[in-house]
Amino acid sequence: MPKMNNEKLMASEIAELTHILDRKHAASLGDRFFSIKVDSDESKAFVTVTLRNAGESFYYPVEGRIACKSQELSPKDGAMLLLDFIDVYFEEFFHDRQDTWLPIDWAGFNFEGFEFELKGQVLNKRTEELADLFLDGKINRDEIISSLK
Amino acid sequence: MASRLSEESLVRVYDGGLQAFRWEARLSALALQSETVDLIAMLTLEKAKESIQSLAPQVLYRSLMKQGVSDCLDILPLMSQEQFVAILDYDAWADGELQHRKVFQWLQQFREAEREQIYTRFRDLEEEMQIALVGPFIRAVDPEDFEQLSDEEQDRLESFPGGALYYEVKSEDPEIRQFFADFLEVTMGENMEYAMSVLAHAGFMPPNEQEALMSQFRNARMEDDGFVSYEESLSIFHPISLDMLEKKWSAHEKTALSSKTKESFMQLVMTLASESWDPSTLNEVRSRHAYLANALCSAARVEPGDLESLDKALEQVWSLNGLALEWLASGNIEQAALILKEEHPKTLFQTACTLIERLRHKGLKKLETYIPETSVIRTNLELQKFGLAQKQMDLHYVKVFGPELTERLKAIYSRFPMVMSHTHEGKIIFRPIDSLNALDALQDGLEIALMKLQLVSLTHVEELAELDAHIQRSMVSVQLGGHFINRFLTQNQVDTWRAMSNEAYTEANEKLYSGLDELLMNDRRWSLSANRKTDHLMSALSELAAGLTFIKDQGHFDALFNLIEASPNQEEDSYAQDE
Repeated sequence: MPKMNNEKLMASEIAELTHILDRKHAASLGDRFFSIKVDSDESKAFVTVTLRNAGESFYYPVEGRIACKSQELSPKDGAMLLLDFIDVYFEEFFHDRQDTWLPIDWAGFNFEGFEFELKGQVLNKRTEELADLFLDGKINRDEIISSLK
Repeated sequence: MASRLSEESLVRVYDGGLQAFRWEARLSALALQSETVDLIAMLTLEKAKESIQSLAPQVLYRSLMKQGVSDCLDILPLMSQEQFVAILDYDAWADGELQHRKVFQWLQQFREAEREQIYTRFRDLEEEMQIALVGPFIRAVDPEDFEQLSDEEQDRLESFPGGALYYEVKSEDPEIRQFFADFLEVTMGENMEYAMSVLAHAGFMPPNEQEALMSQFRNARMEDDGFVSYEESLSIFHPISLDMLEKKWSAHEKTALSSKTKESFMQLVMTLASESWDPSTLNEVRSRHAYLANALCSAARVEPGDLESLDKALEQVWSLNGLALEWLASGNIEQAALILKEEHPKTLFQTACTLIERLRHKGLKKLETYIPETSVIRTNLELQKFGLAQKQMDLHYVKVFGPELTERLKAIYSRFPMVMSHTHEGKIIFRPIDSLNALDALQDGLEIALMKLQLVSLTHVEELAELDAHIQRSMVSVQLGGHFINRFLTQNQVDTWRAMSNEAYTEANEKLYSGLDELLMNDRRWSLSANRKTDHLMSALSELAAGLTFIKDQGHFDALFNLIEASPNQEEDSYAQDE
């Protein structure tokens, strides 16, 4: 039985992929940008591609997970497959005037003969943070309004 | 495993030219006006069906996408079959391949609008299309062959009434299985004979052959909408001779008006046009521009269904034609409106491309004298291989000009050239070349790069790299009373420089600027046209000087140390020569 390749994505490769993702969609991004997080071991890979702006009033993490070992994929190939599919998704997202959405809970997908799961939900972390502060009594209504201006 | 996120994919994006840069659309309202209609409002019209069927398919498609197909279901049964076929041409193909799921999604929407429409719309598609859609997913078995199958295989097959034909849906995709379940349920109810016939035909025909045929039919139809071949699309960007055009329009009396207004020149022209032209002329001009934008899609690697990129192509067409009009009419808006009415948008577009190409060509030739690797970039640009050219720029220019100026040069040498508008959170936002002002800014960008190369070459460095650091070192040398020469500084000199009073520093800077101005006016290798002043160069140099002042004021010694990484011998030698 051939030995399984356990190669993972290196930090420099992730930086390069982030750069390419930013470039591919640059004209559609406005003030937003991508970041990529990869977490993998020999059996599975998790990938999060986040599209967000600096203030995090737009914060869209698209998460993917794939069982690598059982599908005879290395962790690197598993992560790359997820990244490729997420790139396809964002292409659709921008082409369809940003109106193509993913399930907010894990849902199964199939791409190039491999199975994996994805989820994604647009958040406004800025307002969530303000809401928490408000509920904790640390800011009042007027301060919320002025913060959002 | 070949990744979509590869260098090659990036080259494709650069080749297209519409996506790789962050840029602001300033003419969206103008470019996209008339490209969509309010479909819901049209439903209330007395002759709603006729009105909807009179819409250009692209306008109908854009409107459906903008308002959401599921919110416009009542519109679907009213559209003509020709419109539906055109919509499939736009939406259901990618990279020349039929996207079956997209067609099935459309047909399902028709079913939701009116149940039998899933059957009628499918039946009225071209026969080849019907087979191309069904063939890959249906296995048909005639009764004779059915008897030869094992029990297990027989159980998997569905049967037509009386066992006239057996079939199975080959896909495991639930969406596709659902489509065939819905389609066959309705079709069998409406026309059993047809249902059997289409499955039997599709099940026994080679599906790829039909798709290839459909692709040819589709290409022919798309050309009628302006979506021309790649080669034809590329040819639109070729420069033309402007002599005839110049002569033709210079015969008219010109009253040069200032276009240095916040509104774009094209916006002003179209405002005048909408006030003084009859609506049909206005629509004609608009639809010609839309047609031209479609024609650019192939070169820009835009699929007809990619509305966001189509909008961007349209924005670029209106912008560049604004530049052409301003140049041809010398800024006279009435004259420009006349030209807009009489000249084809393609002629205007090529005029703008020619004006820009003249500058870009001159710029490249000069850049090549300083950076020989530019010859490879030039060759790729001449072949319209923008992706490869920009990759080469990353390779050879970043170390020379730094990332920001390289980015500006890349945008200048993009398929759709652009100039810097502003920066936002550290990112450069570009804008199209929509006016003579923007053309000036393009020239400024090139001349700033050339000026930096020239200044540093005057300091006789061995390699032209890190120009900004070289220039800043030379500036400190001048501020300390020496020549504009790139030398290493001793600790004592740095201390003296840091201890300079504000007055002395201001005075030193004044001398620095006047000295640099003289240097640049005496040797105009940086200049792309005669008699150009140095204001834009001075402002670029003052940015570098401001960087130095910041270091000096804030005592950011770490940044300063980059300037003095020299051995004591080198420091003394270079200073002694200068003395």
